[in-house]
Amino acid sequence: MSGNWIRADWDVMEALEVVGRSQENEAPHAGAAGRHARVSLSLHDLELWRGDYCVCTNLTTAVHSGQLLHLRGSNGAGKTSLIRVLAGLALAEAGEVRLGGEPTTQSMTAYRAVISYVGHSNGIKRELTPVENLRVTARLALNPSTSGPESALERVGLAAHMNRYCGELSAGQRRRTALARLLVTNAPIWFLDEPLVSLDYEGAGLVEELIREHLARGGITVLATHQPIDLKGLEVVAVDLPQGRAQ
Amino acid sequence: MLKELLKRELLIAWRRPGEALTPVAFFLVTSMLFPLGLSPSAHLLRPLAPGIIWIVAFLAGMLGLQRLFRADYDDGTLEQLLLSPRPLTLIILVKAVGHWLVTGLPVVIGGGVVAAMLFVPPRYIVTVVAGLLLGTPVLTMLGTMVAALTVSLRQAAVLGPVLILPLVTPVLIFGAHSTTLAMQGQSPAQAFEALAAMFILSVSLLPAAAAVALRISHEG
Amino acid sequence: MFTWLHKLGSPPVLYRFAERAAPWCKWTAFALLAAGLVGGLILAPPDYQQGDGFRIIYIHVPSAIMSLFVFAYMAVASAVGLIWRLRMAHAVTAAAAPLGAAFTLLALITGSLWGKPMWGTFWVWDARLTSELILFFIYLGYMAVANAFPDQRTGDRAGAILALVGAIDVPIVHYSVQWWTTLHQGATLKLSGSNMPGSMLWPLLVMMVAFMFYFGWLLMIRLRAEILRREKRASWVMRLAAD
Repeated sequence: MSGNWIRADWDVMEALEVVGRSQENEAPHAGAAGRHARVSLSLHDLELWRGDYCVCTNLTTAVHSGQLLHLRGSNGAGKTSLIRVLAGLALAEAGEVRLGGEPTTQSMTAYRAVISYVGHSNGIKRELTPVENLRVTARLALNPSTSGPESALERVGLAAHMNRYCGELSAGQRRRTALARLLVTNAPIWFLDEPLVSLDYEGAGLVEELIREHLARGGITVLATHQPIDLKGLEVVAVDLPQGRAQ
Repeated sequence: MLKELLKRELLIAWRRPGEALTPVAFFLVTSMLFPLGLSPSAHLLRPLAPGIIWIVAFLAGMLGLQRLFRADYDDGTLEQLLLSPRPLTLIILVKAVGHWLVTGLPVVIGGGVVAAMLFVPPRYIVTVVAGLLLGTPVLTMLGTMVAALTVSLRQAAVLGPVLILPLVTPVLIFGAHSTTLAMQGQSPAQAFEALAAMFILSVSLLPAAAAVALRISHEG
Repeated sequence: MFTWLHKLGSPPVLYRFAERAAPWCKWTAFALLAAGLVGGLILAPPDYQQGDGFRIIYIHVPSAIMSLFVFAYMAVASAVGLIWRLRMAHAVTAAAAPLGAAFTLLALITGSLWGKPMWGTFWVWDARLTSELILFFIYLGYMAVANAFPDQRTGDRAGAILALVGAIDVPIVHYSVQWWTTLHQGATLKLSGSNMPGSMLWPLLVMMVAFMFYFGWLLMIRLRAEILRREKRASWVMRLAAD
């Protein structure tokens, strides 16, 4: 029901309940070694317009643990619009996004607890250091990784720059900080919108590694990019926009 | 979590002091224009003082309005707040409190100084400060809601004050009236009750409205 | 009843309803306006204090009441649109807004014209006039916000929030004469009865109902235009245009 979308914002009790449930499970969410619980994300008859331009109609597809949903298309095809709908930021004209069979609108809080989003903008404050930024991220998540921001920053190659203000870092380094967010939130579902922007050759390799490791741990990645990326050996569900045919 | 978020807000303000201090600087400077522009006579300024203080406090609040969400919107941090499973209403309340501590509280204190400059008798300066203490949070909350509505618009800086003016007028009226009543020897209790009611209503209801408004702003 | 209301959420159904309801509202409004104006301007006796000048009440009071009613109506429609995600509820709000603003302006202007000969001033900053003026600005604010967004849907929903928050001004305007002593007289009409003589009262009541139907007629017209503008991509609109 549409009201839930609004209710989630002040439903403190619901948020506490979701925290309680996940803490009860004592599942191995901690750190890079643990596996994610089985998840599945499905789209049903999704119809999305941007003004007079139709991004997709009757788009139905699904991804499961260990798979990658690849949204392909040139600039302006609607990849960002679609990935924002999938992440629960925007609304589609028709259709549903389901998490494990249940529509995400039933409980946006539970959905947001299991997703992590890196969009066009980095989502980090320039006035803070990478460590400070990631500490906030950890606080905003329900079940952050126990290894902490420092190890996440080491993984993305920012060990030397952890305590400099993000405003002093290069664009590529800020992008890596944003990627470190994925490790800190410890979420099974990742949304990556043009993650390779600002990254050099090594950075692109880092993204590919992170995706592979994530899928190997049973996570799902939704990737929107028009740039070439090496996905050999991965299970990929591809969606070409704007036709919206799932393959 | 809430303490961490508040600390973050204050830390960011600390590292961008120019932006944070602009409203209170504006408040002090503009208040001083009145004796200079109108007349330095105590006889003229004293009855006008409550109105002047509240009007300039409101204008100072308008100046700082975009600070709430604009920067976060531009660098994507606002989006991350929307994506968090934590209740957005509480997050917004924390942001509003942080904003008030940085822009509103200095105005409350500055208001006492300005009241003295405008020849308000010392025993009524408490009334001025108390009124501002109740009223500036209401201004902040209304500003939060309007900023949330207009954050994605390019002409937000123009539209914001237009939208907020009709909503803020009662606060201005009762705020100034409370001091005027006191200076006339009557009890300001009713005006303070009205301010208190507005305070309670705005702090309890507007964060939720702002949360919905933020999500709506991001939908497009 | 609810199924009928739910069906009205569909654009073509609402369009046809507006099309059919418009003539009914129009003729009822004109008939009542004629009756009310005749009764008020000609038949009612002159007031012993104000002479013939009081007759502006037959425009002023209904306008003022409509200005409040339309905003309350917009607030309800906004809530419905937000909670049940009905696009047509937002269409109704958008269609009603300029009408409500016009009624508010009319009330303010007729009040001014009345005030000058009666109390010697065009304007006074008393509670009721000030809060009515604020209401006018809130109407303008709604129209500004709803049209400021490139995406129609986002603009609708943002405007809906503003309409809900601004709705607090409606009871303030209404009860301002009770809460503060103002230039305005106290309530002339109460549910228990009135202290106005019958010959003056009935044209006023007739005019109030007339304005309601007048608003209904204009709303139906504007609503059809709004629906067409918003649904221009839909197949039923294409078929309509082809005819």
